[in-house]
Amino acid sequence: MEKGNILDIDRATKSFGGIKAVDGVSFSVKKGQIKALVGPNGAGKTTLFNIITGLYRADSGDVLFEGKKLFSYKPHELVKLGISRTFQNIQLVDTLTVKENIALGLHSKVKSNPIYAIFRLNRKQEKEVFEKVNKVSKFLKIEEYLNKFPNQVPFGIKRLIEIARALVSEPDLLLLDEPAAGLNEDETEFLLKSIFRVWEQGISILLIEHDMEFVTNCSHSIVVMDSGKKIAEGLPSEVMNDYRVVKAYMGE
Amino acid sequence: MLGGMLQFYFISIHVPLVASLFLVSLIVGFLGYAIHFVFVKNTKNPTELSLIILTIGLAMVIRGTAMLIFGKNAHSVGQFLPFESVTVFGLTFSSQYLVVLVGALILAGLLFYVLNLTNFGKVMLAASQNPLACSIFGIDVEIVKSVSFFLSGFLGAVGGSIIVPISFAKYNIGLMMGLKGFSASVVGGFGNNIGAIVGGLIIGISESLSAGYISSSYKDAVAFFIMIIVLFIKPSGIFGSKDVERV
Amino acid sequence: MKESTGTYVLIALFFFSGFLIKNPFILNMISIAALTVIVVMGLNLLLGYAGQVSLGHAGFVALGAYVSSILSIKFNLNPWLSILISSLLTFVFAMIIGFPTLKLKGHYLAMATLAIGEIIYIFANNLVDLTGGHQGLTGIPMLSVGNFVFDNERKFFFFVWLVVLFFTFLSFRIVNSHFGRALRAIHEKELAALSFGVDVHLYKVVIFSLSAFYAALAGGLYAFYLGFISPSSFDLLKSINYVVMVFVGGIDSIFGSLIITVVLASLPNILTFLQDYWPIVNGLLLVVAAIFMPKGLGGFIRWKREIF
Repeated sequence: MEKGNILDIDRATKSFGGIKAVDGVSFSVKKGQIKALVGPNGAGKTTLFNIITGLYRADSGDVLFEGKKLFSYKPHELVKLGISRTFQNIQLVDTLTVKENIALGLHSKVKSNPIYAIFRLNRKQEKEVFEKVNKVSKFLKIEEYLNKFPNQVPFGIKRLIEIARALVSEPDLLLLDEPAAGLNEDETEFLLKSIFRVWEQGISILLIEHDMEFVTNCSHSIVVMDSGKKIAEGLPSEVMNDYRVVKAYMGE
Repeated sequence: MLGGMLQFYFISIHVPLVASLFLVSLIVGFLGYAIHFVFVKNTKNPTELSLIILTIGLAMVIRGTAMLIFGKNAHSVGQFLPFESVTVFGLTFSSQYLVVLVGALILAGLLFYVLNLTNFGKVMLAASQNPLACSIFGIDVEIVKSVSFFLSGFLGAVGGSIIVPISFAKYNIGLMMGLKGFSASVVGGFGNNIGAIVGGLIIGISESLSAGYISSSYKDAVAFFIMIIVLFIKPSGIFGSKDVERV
Repeated sequence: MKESTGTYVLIALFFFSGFLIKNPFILNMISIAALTVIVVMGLNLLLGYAGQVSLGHAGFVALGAYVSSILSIKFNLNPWLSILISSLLTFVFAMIIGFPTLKLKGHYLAMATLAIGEIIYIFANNLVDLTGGHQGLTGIPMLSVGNFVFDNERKFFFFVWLVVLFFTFLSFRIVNSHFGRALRAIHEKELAALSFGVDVHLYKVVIFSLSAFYAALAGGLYAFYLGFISPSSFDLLKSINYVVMVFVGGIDSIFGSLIITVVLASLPNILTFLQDYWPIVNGLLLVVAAIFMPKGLGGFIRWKREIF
């Protein structure tokens, strides 16, 4: 492990019924870096995300976060370590308001069990939680939606709510799974700006995207995956010219 | 249960055995198909929970109706074979056990063949794992679902029909049988044919043993205990592999 | 109006109806319904909020009823203490058994919990020395406080509605908390809930045990109120009835659970001629609810949201 890396993925491999979804992928995310993971559909990007966040158990390989082996943690313990994520298909809870959805991101920072609930022992903490929720929603300019339910807000806002939920726990590493999918031009523009503002706060970002233009605009370094393998890595300009990338994308 | 009850009904109105078996399985199979067609397809936002609730509701309706029509008493159904009992290695048992054994082997073989070796079986497995991808590849997932509903009704009915000469036909026999089958598949591991058979044997043998050594009134409880213990030690079952989910 | 306010008003209405209703048969009927309300409210936390099915809740009611009765008959323990101990024991039992069981999902969970209920039912039927077998257990003493004995329908009626009030309060506190919000997240987006730090399996086990506690306590009160219990009060059909009540009343609606439970628990006593058809009616209710109103009747009422 090199010093200065926040995330090291070391020969991660995962197969489903004989098909290798992720095949010996290694790369690192440096502290304070925006790294993008690109590739066509089915390249294994989301699978890799799910391996990092512990939703899938890798067949072999390792993932290190600040030198700690992530596989020895349970999925729900990662937030405490400082990793949070968003989802490709939006995972907001429809029966909770936007505010409460964002507050879920702070779940592991609040004592939560029936006894605490019945006697309201964590009122002070609750107040702090909702203060943080307000702060993060101001940051992403979604305050006006806080008391609405997810099905009452536009799609682009839902993406921002997901990001707010991931940000509210003040992570060191933010994983974004196709944050720009389904957004119109204005929304994409705003998202791009927001990602930079998050990055300015010192948060490292790993994002999945298949819009090449978006990626070259926002990332410091790009990893290209195809059929489960890493086929290229480097600066956006380098990768764009790489023959194999063009091939994977154009489907030559 | 329905298989068993209908079998009793047809035999009692003197339908020949083979014809009755055939009729019963077809009727229940089509009932399975109809349930899918009428109810499951029309469910608004079919969440997993609402489908479970639907299943429980339908089971209650069928069971309640059977109770009204056939009454609460157990009905006996004659054995299939013309001779009363068989003697093997000095053990004598009812000839119907032979029928059940052979029937189970044939059905298991058939199911194994259909699921693993035919094209349709592969489509069925694929549709259960990723319905969206299947429909993109031009597979009509709805038809696959309808057929599997038909098949599960059909198989359940055949099972019910051949067991009733031993167990008697009663409106509530289905529950225990279903639960035992479920316990067996948990013990063996879901989605694993060998596991299901081994699980069934383990449950069956331990039931008989407990009936012999403890008391026959606890034999049902023993089956469930074994299931819960297996869940404790190896939740995926003896032959099961870790299963994975998608976000 | 907030849902909690509406529910408390409803409970108050039921409570004060005790002064007006003269007929002991009706008082008795509504008292039993109120005990059912407690079970259903507990089940609603599990089924409605956390989205996990249990077809074995009648088993927990039975545990509460039998253990408390046996404690007080065979060991001469104070009835109140017996009820408390039996409820706590059931809580622990549910925790132990819920740990492996709640790894299962959907239909599999339904089957496994059904098996738990059946095991308890089998034991209630066969441990004749302790439970009296299918003949039942008699001679359970009456509840009393000092010299005040709950010896008629009206006294118990008032008491049981106070208990309902207590459990309603608990439910609302739990639902409107971080814990409650995590439960809703588990219901809808289980894997996402894991990712933002909810220990999904532990939460399921906790809420399962808590709902078993509700059930056991109601079971204990039932035993000491009637003075007689037999296994037939705790069979599979009862478990299914509870699920019907939660689902028809509206998953995640405490108000809906309350009113529908009182109605559905009382109807069979009034429409006695329908007795044999009752399982079918229940089944149909479930089918209709599942197809046409996945949020139940409670889903039709718009409450003001309780926000901090």
